[in-house]
Order: sequence, then structure tokens, then C-alpha cells
Amino acid sequence: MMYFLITIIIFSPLLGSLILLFKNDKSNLSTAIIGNISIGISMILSLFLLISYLFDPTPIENFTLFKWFSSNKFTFEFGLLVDSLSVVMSFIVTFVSFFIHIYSIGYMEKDLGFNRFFIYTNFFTFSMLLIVFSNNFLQLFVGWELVGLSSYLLIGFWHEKISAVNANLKAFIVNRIGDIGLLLGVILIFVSTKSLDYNNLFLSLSALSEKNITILNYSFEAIPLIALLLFIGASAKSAQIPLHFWLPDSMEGPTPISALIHAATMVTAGIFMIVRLSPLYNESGYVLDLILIIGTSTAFLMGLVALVQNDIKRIIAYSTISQLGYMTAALGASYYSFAIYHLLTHAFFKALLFLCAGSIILKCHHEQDITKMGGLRKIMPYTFFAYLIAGISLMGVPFTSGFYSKDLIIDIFKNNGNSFIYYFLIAGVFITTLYTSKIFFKVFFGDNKLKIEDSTELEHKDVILMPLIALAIPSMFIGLALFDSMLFNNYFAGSTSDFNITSNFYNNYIISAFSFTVHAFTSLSFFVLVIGVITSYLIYYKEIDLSKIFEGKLSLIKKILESEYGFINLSNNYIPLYFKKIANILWIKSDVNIIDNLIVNGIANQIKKISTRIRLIQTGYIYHYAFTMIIGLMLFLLVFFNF
Amino acid sequence: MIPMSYYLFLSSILFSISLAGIFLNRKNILIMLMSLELMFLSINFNFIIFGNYLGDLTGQIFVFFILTVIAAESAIGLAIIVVLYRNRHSINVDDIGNLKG
Amino acid sequence: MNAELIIFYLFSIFLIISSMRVVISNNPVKSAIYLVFSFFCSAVLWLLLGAEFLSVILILVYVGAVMVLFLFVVMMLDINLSEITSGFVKYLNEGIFVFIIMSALLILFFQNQFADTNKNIITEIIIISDSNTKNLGYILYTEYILAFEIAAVILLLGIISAITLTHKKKSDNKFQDPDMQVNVKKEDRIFIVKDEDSK
Repeated sequence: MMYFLITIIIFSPLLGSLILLFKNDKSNLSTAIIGNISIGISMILSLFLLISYLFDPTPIENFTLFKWFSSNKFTFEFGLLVDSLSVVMSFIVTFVSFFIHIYSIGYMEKDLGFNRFFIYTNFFTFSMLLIVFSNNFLQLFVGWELVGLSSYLLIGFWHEKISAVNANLKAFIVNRIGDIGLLLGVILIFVSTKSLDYNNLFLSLSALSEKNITILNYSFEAIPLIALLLFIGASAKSAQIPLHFWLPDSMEGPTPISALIHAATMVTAGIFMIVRLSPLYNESGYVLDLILIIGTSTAFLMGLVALVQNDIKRIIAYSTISQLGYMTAALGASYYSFAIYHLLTHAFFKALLFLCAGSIILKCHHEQDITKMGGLRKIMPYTFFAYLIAGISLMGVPFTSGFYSKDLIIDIFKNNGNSFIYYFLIAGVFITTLYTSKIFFKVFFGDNKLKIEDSTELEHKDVILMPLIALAIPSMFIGLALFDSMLFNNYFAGSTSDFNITSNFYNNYIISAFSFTVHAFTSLSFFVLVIGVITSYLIYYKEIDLSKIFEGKLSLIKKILESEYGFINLSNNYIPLYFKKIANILWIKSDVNIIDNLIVNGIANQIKKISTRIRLIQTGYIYHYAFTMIIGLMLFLLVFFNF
Repeated sequence: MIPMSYYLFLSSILFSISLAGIFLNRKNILIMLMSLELMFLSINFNFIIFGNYLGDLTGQIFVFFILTVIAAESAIGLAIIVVLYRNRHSINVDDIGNLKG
Repeated sequence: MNAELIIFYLFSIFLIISSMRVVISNNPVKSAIYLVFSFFCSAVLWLLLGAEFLSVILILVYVGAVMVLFLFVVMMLDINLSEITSGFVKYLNEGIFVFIIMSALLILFFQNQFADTNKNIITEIIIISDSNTKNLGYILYTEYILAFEIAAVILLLGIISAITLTHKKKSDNKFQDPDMQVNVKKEDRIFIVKDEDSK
């Protein structure tokens, strides 16, 4: 039964994508129906699974779909691992994906590539589900690559735009760097455990911890090395410093894609993988500290960058990186289920933010600069309320989803006594509040600069508004609704290794969702939040000019932030420049000179030379051929002549 | 009783004559074809002789099939010569040198 | 010296001489006639070897059919005899050289291998009866039936290829073009004409 269910969940999007690929007629209606039904089936089944798991999270099903290939010693199988973690992930992926699909019907309706769009998105959902349900590293790797491929296709969806092509190339190449790390990690696992199964790895962890791996006379402990390599892969997918810079650029794609890939699903793959491998990371020692530092710095620094951006989608993109930083920080503290919980709530409100942004952009005739917008509150009431909900959830106002997950992560460090990280994350809250309110005040209040008419009709079609409402509900309530049942009701006990510390944390610190909420009003983060709202009200609504107050002191900081700490220059100028130089040298020296001239053309030229001489043997006279035959016959007879 | 080697000598001489014929006739492709027929004849001789030597009728069966094949071959060969003559107005072997490298 | 040996010597000498004449004859008609004679001689020798059926076949099929075909072709082609005979002597030395070397090698070879196996030769091979034709037919239609069928196909192939090679295409020949037949459309065949008067 379960077997059947999961198979349908995974392959229904693939089937939808294939049907769309070979679909003959050009009508948008049939494309929309097929594309949405295939995801819808997955969504309903995932929802059903999630509910059944919320009642009883214990069953862990691990079965083999088919044998991929087997050699003498090893077998590689295509298997499914179903436990509480993969069910939650599958719910997030399919739920968000489904509503984004519905939204896309309205958003993309005038686009020529309507059918292509749905092929890509369906395929993307399939690849993501492949990662989520995989039970071995090989399948994970395949899914990982397919996700990378579909994100490449989707970011460059408008392939006539040169900036979109550059952005998808950038995303692809940065992900490739991460993939090398992942691949090396997988190879190391295979070499040291002779198997690619997750279970096998977890069983052989104690044996593995004794092992050392020697590379060029340097000896490394096996587990931290593997964990580090896998984290490189994860940090590229989940956009952590220093491999984050592809994500803001990839906002070149259509807005639903930004919501689908860069908020809810693809970027979560890295987080998911580390949570899935939590027993490995528990043993990995210094790598966890590294993850913690990277996560915290990403959360803080990338939030700062968001402040100086004016493009609505780029602000949300930096906010995504920053929130992923929070998740990574939780991973670094080995509170894996908290990371997944933040991932869950973040997926909803960030997708909602992107969809709101899409709705605004659509209304403003593809204008993305928020300084040029204003006064949309009256014109777009639905979007206004949806944005309000998503915004306060992102800020972490108590009772919203974002509050329960984000404050939980911040409170880990308060409880740990790790005050350094704690204050950084609190500062992150302040920054988050600032940039969220910045969009809020600049877009919805003030003058209607774009002179958009307030028509009596609804602000958009129903297909665009419906997902906004549908996603607003979980953005608001899912944090509270699942708080006790999912985090502390042994829900993740079977799938992650942090059960002991989380239950400890719960008993000593939280006690219940109600007390946690009440307690939050007296906490530092709430205080910072209120200050943030007031500050942003002053700056962005009353428009107090900061530069006058600080007399140019901020300009240097602004410059640094606008250049993204030099990452923009590095990724756009220096690395491509030197890469091109090296590539040119390799091209001329090795490819043209050795391969082309020496091997490929050289062999052909030699054959031509030899054959021009050899062909003179062919005289074309029959008696010459006969004579040759006679000589052969004579030799034959002489050889067999028994003297 | 005629010794077997006599027949073998006869067939060898026949073979050599036909081989020499291919060399001698550089003007007429028809005689070349006839030399080929002679060569087949000597080979058929050998088949019959060795069939008898081994006490097996398969040798004669082989001759039977070879005769069939030669009949087809000479028919096609003559047809080719006719076409050749029609196109070039010559059956001179020296004129047919198009395969020269 | 018995009669058998006399016949053998006589006809082998005839065979060698006539085959030499085939090769060195100036006139293709003459060499065809000599070829017929050499076939006849070898048929006699095959009789001595006990291959009665094959010797009859050789005369009937070769002398009766193939050689006539040769003669037909020789006569059909309008060959300038003087041109053909010229330059013959030029290659005589090579021809004789090849002949001597080849025959010496072969004879030495056979002498070496088969000179002392005279006793083994059997002229009568009996399978179902003492008739050579019956035996041959029995084997041919049982063991070699498939090869026999294939031989028939090869003969058919010879017929077809000879005809297609020599067949001259004439433009006024009536023939069907399957390509055109398949690709024909309704519009090519039916024209709908409106009758103005019947209104």
C-alpha cells in the first residue's frame, strides 16, 4: 500500500511532464490541467501521508523499487525510504509546488513557452521528490543533478534575455562546484563502507570513526572529511557563503520559479540532506562548528545586503539566503529537527512573499524597483494582506509560523549560552524586520508613483489570488498547529538523531507552545523586533534621510554592501577572466595542437600519405592481379611442399 | 588400372595451360573467359579424382554444383562482355584499366 | 599396356593439345571449337574415372549450351581479328614461363604426395546400386537437397542478371511506376466540372 502510494507521489509529476512533452495541441488549457493534476495527485497523497504520520510517526519503510545494476560485489538499487522526515519534505515540496503551479497558470498565460514551463516545473518537482525519498547516495546524487538541471532550465526560461542566460550559467556552474564536493563525499563513503545505502552508512559509523583517509601524505579522519565534502555540496545548493552568489542572480527567471526553486524546494535540498545524514554529522566534530559559523555569518551578512537592494525580488532572494543561514545555524548546533521545522514554515511564507512579489510585478507592468512603486494598498487589497501575513511571519511576530520556528533556533543559542552566535542572530532579526518593512512601506504606502488605475474589478484573476490565500493560511497558522505535535511528540525520533537534545530542550526551556509564546514577549528578540519596526517606520515611511544624520559615514558601508562584500566583482569579473585565460591556454595548447593537429588530423594525414603511395600497386590490369595470385599460389605450394 | 597420379598430372598441366592463357591473351577477354572454363575443368578433375580416392560420392556432388555455378557465371560474364562491348566498342583487356590506382 | 591406359594416354594428349590451342588460337571461334573438343576429351576421361553421369552432363550442358552461348557472343561482337592477334607473341615468354613453373610445381607436389597411393583409387562407389546416376541422385535428393535448391536459385539469379545487364531500355516501353501509383492524389484523377446548363 505504502509502496504504491509513494511510487505514485514520485512518478506522477514525471508522468505529467512526459505527457506535456509529447502533447500535440497547443492549447494552454490542457497544459494547465495536466500539469496541475499531476502535481495535485502527489499533493493530496502527501497530505494524506503527513496526517497519518502525525498520528503515528514510527513506521519507517525502506524498500527497493528495482535493481539498477549489480556487479560481482556491489548492487545499486533504486529504493524508497519513507519516514517522518521524508513525509514532511514531500508535503512541503508538493504543497508549495501545487499552489505555485496554479499561480503560474495566471502568471504565465501570455507567455509563448507556457507548455515548456509546465514541463520543466513538473520535472523539477519529480527530481526533488527523488531526492526526498531516496534511500541511497547514488539516487540522491541523480536527483541532485536533475534538480540542478531543471533549475538551470527554469532560471534561463526566458532564454532570449542575455542576463537570464548568464544567470542560469552562473547557477549551474556554482552548483557544479558543490556537486564535486558531494560526488567526492559519496565516493569516499563508497570506498570506505563498500555500500551506498544510508542505513549501511549509519550502521558502520562506529567502524568508520576509527578510519583515517590519507591524501598526499596528510591523514584525515574519515567522518569529518566526508561530512565536510557533503556540506560543500549542500552549501552550494542551499546558497551559503561563499557559494551563495548564484541565488540573487537567478531571480532572472519567472517569479513563480523564484518561489518554487529559490524559496521552497531546491535550496532546501542541502538542508534536507544534512538532516537526513544527521547521525553522520553528529560524529563529525569540527565540521559542525564550521557549519554553525557559516550559517550564522550567512544569516547576518546576507541580511545586511538585502537592505541596500531596491529590486523587490532581489530583496526577497537575499532574505531567503539569510533564512537559510538560520537553518544552517540550527544544523550546526545539531538541532536538526528545528532546521526542518524552520524549513517548513519558511517554505510557506517565502513562497507567499514571492507570489506577492509576482502579483505586484504583474500589476506594475514588470517594474521591479520598489523605489518607483507606492500606494498599492488600496489597489491590491488581497496582495496587501497576503504580504502582511508573510511579512510578519518572516519577521517572527509572535503567533505567526515564522516566530515558532525562528525564535526556536535563536533560543537554542540562548539556552546553550553561546552568546556570540545569539547576538548575531538577534541582529539578524533586526535586519529582517528592516528589509521586510522596507518593501511593505515602499510598495503599499506612499504615493502611487506608477499611476496604476484603481479598476473596479478584482486586482487579478482568481488563479493568481487563490494560491495567495491558500498559502497565507499555513504561513499564519502552521507554526503553532504543528509546534507540539511535530517537534516534541517524538515525531522526528525515527529519522533524525537529535531526539535527546530536543526533548531535553523542551522539558527545560519550552514546556509548551503557550508558555513559549508568552515567554517570547519578554525576550530580547521581540524587543529588537519592535525597535526594528519603529526604525523602519521612521526611515521608510516618514523617509528620514539617514545620510544626513550620519554625514556620509554610512556611504562606505553602503558601498561594501552593494558590492556584496566583493562577491559580485569576484564572481562576475575576476573568476571568469582568469578562467577564460586558463581555458584559452588549454584550448590552444592541448586541444588544437595535440588533439586536433597531432592525433585527429595527424593520423588522417599520415594515412593519406601512405595510401597515396600504396594505391599505385593497383594497376587495373587483370593479368597483374592474376600474376599476384600465381605468386601466392606458388608460395603456398612451396610451403606445403614436403621436400 | 590407371595410377591416380597420372590424373593429377593431367589436371595440373591443364591448370597451368589455362593460367598461361590468362597471361597470353591480353587482347581478347573472351579467350580469358574460356581459360577460366578450362581452369574449372581441371579443378573438377581433381574433385572427381579425390572423391574416388576417398571412396566418397561427395566429390562428384561438388562437381555437379560447380557446373551449376559455372553455367551461371559464364552467362553473367558473357552478358557483362556484351554490355562492355556495347559501351566501349572493344573487348581489349588493355583498354579496361579503370581500376588503376 | 591395357586398353584403358591406351585410351587414357590418347585422350589426355588430345586434351592437352586442344586446350593449348584454345589458349593460343588467334580466332575466338576456333578457340571455342577447341574448347568444345577439350570438354569432350575430359568427358571421356571422366568415364574412365567412373563418373558417367557427370561426363554426360558435361557434354550435354557444356557442349550443348554454354559453348553455344560462347559462340553466339563471339559472333555477336564485331571484333577486328587482326587487331586482336597482334601483340600476341610479345607475351609468349611470360606465358611459357608461367606454364613451366606452375606445372612443374604442381606435378612435383602431386608426385611427392600421391605417387605411392595408386592402389587406393576406387572407380566404383556403391551406395544403393551399382549405377552411378542412381547413387548420385540418391545423395543429391537426400543429403544435399538444400544445396540443390540453392543451386536452382543461383541459376535463376544468373538468368535474371544476364537479362537485366543486356536489356536495353526503350523509352516507348509501357511499364508501371509504383512510386507514382502510390503518390497519386484524388485531384490528379478526378476533376469536378460544374454543369452550367443544369441549373
